[in-house]
Amino acid sequence: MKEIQGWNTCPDNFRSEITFSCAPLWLRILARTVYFERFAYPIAVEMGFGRLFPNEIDPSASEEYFIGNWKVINRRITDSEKVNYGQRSNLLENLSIKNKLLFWQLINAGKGLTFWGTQQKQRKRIHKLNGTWKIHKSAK
Amino acid sequence: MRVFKFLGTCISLFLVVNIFMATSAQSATPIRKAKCYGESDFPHISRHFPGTVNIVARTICPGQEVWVSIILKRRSFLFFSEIKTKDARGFGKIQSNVWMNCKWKPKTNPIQYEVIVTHGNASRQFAPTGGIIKLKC
Repeated sequence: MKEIQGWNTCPDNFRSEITFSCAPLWLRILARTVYFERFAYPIAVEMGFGRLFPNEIDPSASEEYFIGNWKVINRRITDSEKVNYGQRSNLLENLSIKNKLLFWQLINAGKGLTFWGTQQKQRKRIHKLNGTWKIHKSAK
Repeated sequence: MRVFKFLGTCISLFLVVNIFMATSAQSATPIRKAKCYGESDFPHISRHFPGTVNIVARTICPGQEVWVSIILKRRSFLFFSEIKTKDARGFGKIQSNVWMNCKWKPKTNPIQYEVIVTHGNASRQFAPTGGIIKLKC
């Protein structure tokens, strides 16, 4: 296995996240292309779109610092960031038939052809179900 | 005639009792509209049980029955995937976790894990959360 930065390797004890939504169009297209997506990741890291989240927060280090081109977020993720990542949502009365269909699609969202596409598809469905899709879209 | 009168009084009594019960139910204290929310982590390699991938999810809704349903998927060959699920119920706050044994072998690509969590409460409110991540596990 050839090591590709951001695609199959990142510094140890960190979780990596590439914010392609801020990247130029050509890079987003590359990230959505089957097989060739892997070449988009090292470019995105080079361009400074790579972010690292430590498994354990180091209180002695500053909140944000850099390891090479990776930006390290050394703090707890805020609630609004969690909402943005689809990790937190408020409970709403939204069990309509349309939403039930969306939920079924959410369960099957992981079958995308590219990793970033799959991630985006899942987030979109979560936000649509929670009614936060427009906010998430504008926050990009 | 007497039978009809008796039946009439019975029906009117039944209606009066029903209306009284309905109004008393409406005047009862309404369900507190507390801020209810659901949270889930990204799948991560467990620190407490090394060699396993773990996902923790919680639903918080003070004063109500809550539930959480977790689906953890590990993508394998083509469109096939391994699935592990768990449901949990509680009152006010419920936290649950699902784990899987690691399968990753050195010199291979990281494995894609996907989590879909459904949070809900007794007032039929509902919210999904989730995440997709690649792990060397």
